[in-house]
Amino acid sequence: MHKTLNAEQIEQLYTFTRQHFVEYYDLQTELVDHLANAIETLWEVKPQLTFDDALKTEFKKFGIYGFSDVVEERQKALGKKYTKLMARYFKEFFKLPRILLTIAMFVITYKLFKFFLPVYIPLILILEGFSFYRIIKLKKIYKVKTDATGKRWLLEEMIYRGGSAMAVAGMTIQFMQFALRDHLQEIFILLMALVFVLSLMHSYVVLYVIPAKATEHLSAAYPGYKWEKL
Amino acid sequence: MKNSQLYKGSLNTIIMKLLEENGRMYGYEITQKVKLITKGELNITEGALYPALHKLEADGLLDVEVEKVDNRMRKYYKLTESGEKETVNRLNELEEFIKNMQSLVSPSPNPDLQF
Repeated sequence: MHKTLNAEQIEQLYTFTRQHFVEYYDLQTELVDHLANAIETLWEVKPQLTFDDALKTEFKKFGIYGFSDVVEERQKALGKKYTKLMARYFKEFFKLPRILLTIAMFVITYKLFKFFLPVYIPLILILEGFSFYRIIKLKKIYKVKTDATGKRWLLEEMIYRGGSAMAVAGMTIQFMQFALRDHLQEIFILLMALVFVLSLMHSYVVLYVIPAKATEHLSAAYPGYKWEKL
Repeated sequence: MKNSQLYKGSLNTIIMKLLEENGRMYGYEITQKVKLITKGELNITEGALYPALHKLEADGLLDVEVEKVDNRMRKYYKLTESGEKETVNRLNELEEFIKNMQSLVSPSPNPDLQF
């Protein structure tokens, strides 16, 4: 009979991954299983090794940077997943029937800006004001969730952070300076209308559509997610 | 990994080929399988394996399943439909590469001239 890890040692491995800066539960779980398998294999040839020594030996195999490469790459991979998700919903605005609404919004905004460009300022302030309000609200929902389960999932965090909402808001606010200039070229007015309509759609996707379907996307990305919530 | 520069570019193909043959596998199993097949000559490092798996998953070539085994959770990887197609492409590409390398490294006499 080979030596196997008990539940308490599995818990210790979770703590070990957390101590080594693996913050998210899905990656912790994968690394815990990996280390557990490696330790058990090591015990087959060296059963006298203590758990701590076996863990030390196996952790060394990850190299001098420990888990950091794995963590970094995981972040990139999930970032890509989030971007794909966003792109999928964004594309909806350019398909029938919704494209008609997109075009209508763009034309109205353009006409309005052409008539009186400074109106961009109050409009963008209202939009970003709503966005900030929503970001704060999502942050609260996320905090309640993590406090209840004690587990963090990277994709969930991206969803509840509202993706790139803050960055886009920053950009649209920067554009306010152009709104007060006299004799702005036609192309600029067109660009401002585009910025406004796109940021409106972006906010809607990242702050409403994706969070509303969070559970569905998270269950697809993390097969263990649903279990953990039960 | 042994001679890492040479093997690096083929890691994804190795993973996909193993999954094609074995259905679904988990990370540690892949490292052990490679060691076994190559008789310990090739050792995939953990620091290279997981990033490769996660990237393939994000690209939609792999799918994941989680199961409780013993007293812990295990994450399995398997090829998606597009992953299966891509495996065929990548294996062809790799075989072509091996063939070209072989003829560059040890050119065989032209068979047309042999009699």
